[in-house]
Amino acid sequence: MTGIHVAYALPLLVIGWTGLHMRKSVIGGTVAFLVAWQGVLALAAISVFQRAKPAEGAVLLWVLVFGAAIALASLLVLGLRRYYSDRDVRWRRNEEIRH
Amino acid sequence: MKPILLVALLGASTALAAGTLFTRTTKRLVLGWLGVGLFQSLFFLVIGFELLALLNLLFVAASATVLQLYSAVFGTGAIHRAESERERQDWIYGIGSGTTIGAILVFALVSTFPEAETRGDLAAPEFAKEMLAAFPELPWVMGVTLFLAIVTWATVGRPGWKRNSERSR
Repeated sequence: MTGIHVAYALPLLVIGWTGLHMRKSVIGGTVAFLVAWQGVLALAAISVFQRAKPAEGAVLLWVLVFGAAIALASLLVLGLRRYYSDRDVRWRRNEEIRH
Repeated sequence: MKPILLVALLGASTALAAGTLFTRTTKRLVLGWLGVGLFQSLFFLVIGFELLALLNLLFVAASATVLQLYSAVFGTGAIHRAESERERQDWIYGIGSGTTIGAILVFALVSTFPEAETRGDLAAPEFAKEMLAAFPELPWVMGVTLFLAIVTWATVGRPGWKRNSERSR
């Protein structure tokens, strides 16, 4: 069993979290979220790796699936929100959608 | 040898992530993300989670494709313009939040439980019991912190990428 402290996964988490607060675009925010997610995954992998039964790491796959679903769904939701917030959907004011 | 390799792989992905944090173009953002994901997959491979490494690789490729498609639909120019405008308050906000989460995580993982490295098999209920024994006011503190955080998030500004204006796309 190789000894590596779980804290080695922290920089990725911190960088992702910082990016999430500094980014201005949806793509930037999503990439920051994905980086933070890799940090969470690394944290989980290191802690499971050092357990007596590393086979329990199968749980990590489910964590990854959930993370992937959340990341991609958030990109879509943020993108659609961005798209529709830029559209003037008021019927009387927008010539484009009046007819 | 193995710990050095593991730390080197984590270090490489961290360095790439830090570089990605300061890039402005969509191309570099996506490439940076691909690099981070590749090194993380190698890391999972080295510690023996082959399936996880493979799935992570597939996920990274798929998410990079989605990001590319998104930038193609909404325009790379608008994204570049939005990312180029970084003001003093963005730096304060970003570095402040990063420092806060870093301090909390270091406190949780290193200071409070210095033996976490050697214990290995750390069961969650046992962890919670020890934490509560060491710090009985923890639920109250966490509750108040969460409440204050929610109030702050809801009232004091919003993350830059949520702003409702043309330039923030």
